[in-house]
Amino acid sequence: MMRALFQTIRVHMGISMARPMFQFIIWASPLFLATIAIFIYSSASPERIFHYVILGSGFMALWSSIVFSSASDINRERFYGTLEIIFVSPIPFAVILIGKIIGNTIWGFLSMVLSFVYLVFIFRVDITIPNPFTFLLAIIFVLFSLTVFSFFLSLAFTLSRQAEALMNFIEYPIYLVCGFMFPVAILPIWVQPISYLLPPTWAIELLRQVSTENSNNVALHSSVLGLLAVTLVYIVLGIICYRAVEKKARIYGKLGVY
Amino acid sequence: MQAVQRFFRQSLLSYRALFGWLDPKVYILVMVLSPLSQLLFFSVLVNYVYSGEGLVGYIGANALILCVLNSVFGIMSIITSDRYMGTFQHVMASPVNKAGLFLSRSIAHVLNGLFTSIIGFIFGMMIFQISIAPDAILLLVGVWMVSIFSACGLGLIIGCFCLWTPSMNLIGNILASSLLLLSGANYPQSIMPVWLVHFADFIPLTRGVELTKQILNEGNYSNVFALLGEEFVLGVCFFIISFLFIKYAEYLSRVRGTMDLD
Repeated sequence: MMRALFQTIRVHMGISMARPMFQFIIWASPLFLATIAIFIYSSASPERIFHYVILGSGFMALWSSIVFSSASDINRERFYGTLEIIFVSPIPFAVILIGKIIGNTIWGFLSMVLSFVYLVFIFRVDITIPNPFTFLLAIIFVLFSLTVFSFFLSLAFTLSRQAEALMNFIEYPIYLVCGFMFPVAILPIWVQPISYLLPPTWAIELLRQVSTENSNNVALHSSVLGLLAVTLVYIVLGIICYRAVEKKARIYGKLGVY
Repeated sequence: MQAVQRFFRQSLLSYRALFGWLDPKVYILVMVLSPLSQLLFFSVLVNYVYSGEGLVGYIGANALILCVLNSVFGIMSIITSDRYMGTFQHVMASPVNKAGLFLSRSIAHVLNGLFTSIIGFIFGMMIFQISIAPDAILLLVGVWMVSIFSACGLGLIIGCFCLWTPSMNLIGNILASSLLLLSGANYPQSIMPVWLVHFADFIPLTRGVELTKQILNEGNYSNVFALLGEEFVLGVCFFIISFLFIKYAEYLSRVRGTMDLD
C-alpha cells in the first residue's frame, strides 16, 4: 500500500508538472503575487511584511496549487476517461487520491518556498523566525490540514457538474475570506464565522502566531486547537463525500459521466 | 451599409458561438462572480493598507483590470476555439478580409470587457459606499473603452501564438498577471523600479489605470486626451502587429500545411 502511495506521488508530480497551467501556478504565479504584495506593502513594518507579504503570498501560491490541481484531479481523470480504471484497480481509490494530493501539496510547498526565496533575495526582505523548530512543526501541521481540505474539495468537486467553473471561481474568494494578505478581523462580522470554518484561515493564523516574537500563548493555543478542530471536521466531511462518490460509481454507475 | 451590418452580425455570431453552449450558471460563476471576487479582494487589501486613502481610484482601476478576462482570454479564444474545433482552416481559406473579420470578432469582447468593468465598479461603489462626480462617468467610459480596445489588441497578438505553441494557458496567464502587476492598479507607479515603469509604458491599461485614478481621486481631467491618444495609438499598433502575425501564420501554414498542427 505504501509503495503504491509513493509511486502515485512520484508519477503524479511528474504528470502535474507537464501541464503548462500548473507550471504557471508553481513557477510564475508566486513571483507575480509576491511582487504585487511587496509593492502594496512597500512602506509597512518588517513584521507586517513577514505576516502579510511573505506568508500571505506564499499561502496564495500554495492555495492556487490546491485549487488548480488537487481540487480538479478527479475531474481531469474523468475527462481522460481513466477514472473508472483507477477506481476499480486493486489499490483503494482513496490511496491513489491521497497520493495525488500529497504530490500537489509538495509542489505547492515548493512554490511557497520559491516565493520566500524570491522576496528575500530580490527585495531584501528580512525573515526572523524566533523559534524555527516550532515553525517547522507548524508548517507540517498546516500541510497535513490542507491535504485533508484538498481531499474533501476534490471529492466535493467530483460530485458537482460545474467542477471546472468552481475551480476557476474559488481562488480569489478564499484569498479574501481566509485573510491571506490582511487580518480576518477587518472583514465584516458576518463573514468572519465563514472564515473560521475554513482550514486556511486557521493555518495562516497559526504560522503568524509562531513567527511572532513574544507571541501570546492563548492566541497560539487557540490557533492550534482551531486548526485541529476544523481538520477533524473536514476528515469527516471527506469520508462522507468519499462514500457519496463510491455510491455514485457502484450503485448508479455514473462515475465517469455527469 | 451591408458590409457594416455584416461586420456587426459576425461580431455577435462569433460571441454567441463562444458562450452560447455554456450553462448560464457557468457564465455567471466565471464571467461575473469570479471578477467581482478579484475586485473585492484587492479593494479590501488596498483599503486596509492605505487606510482608505485614494480608495475610489483603486476600485476604479481594479474594475478596469477586470477586462483582462475578456481582452486576454476572450480574445485568445477567437483563434484558439476555431483551431480546437478544426474550423480555422476554413476561416483562413475563405475569401473574406481577415483584418475585418478578426476586428469584428474582437468588438464583442471589447464591449463585454467594458460591461464587466462597469459592473465591477458599481459593485465596488455599493460595497464601499462611495460615489463619483456625474461628469466623470462619461469620461471614464471613454477611457475604459479605449484602454480595453488596446488590451484586446495585445490579446489578439498573444492569440496568434497558438499557431506556434500548445501552451496558451501559460502564456495567457502570464500576460494577465503582467497587466495586473505593471498597470499599477493597486499601488502608485512610483513604487515600481524605473525600468519597470518604462516597460509598463508599452503595455495596455497602464495609461487607463493612471487616468482612472486621476479622474476619480483628483478630479484631474487635464491629461485625458494626451494619454488616451497614446493608448489608442498603442492599441492600433497591437492590432496591426496581430494582423501581420496572422498573415505570417497563414503563409507558414500554406507552405508547411500545419495550420491545425502544433
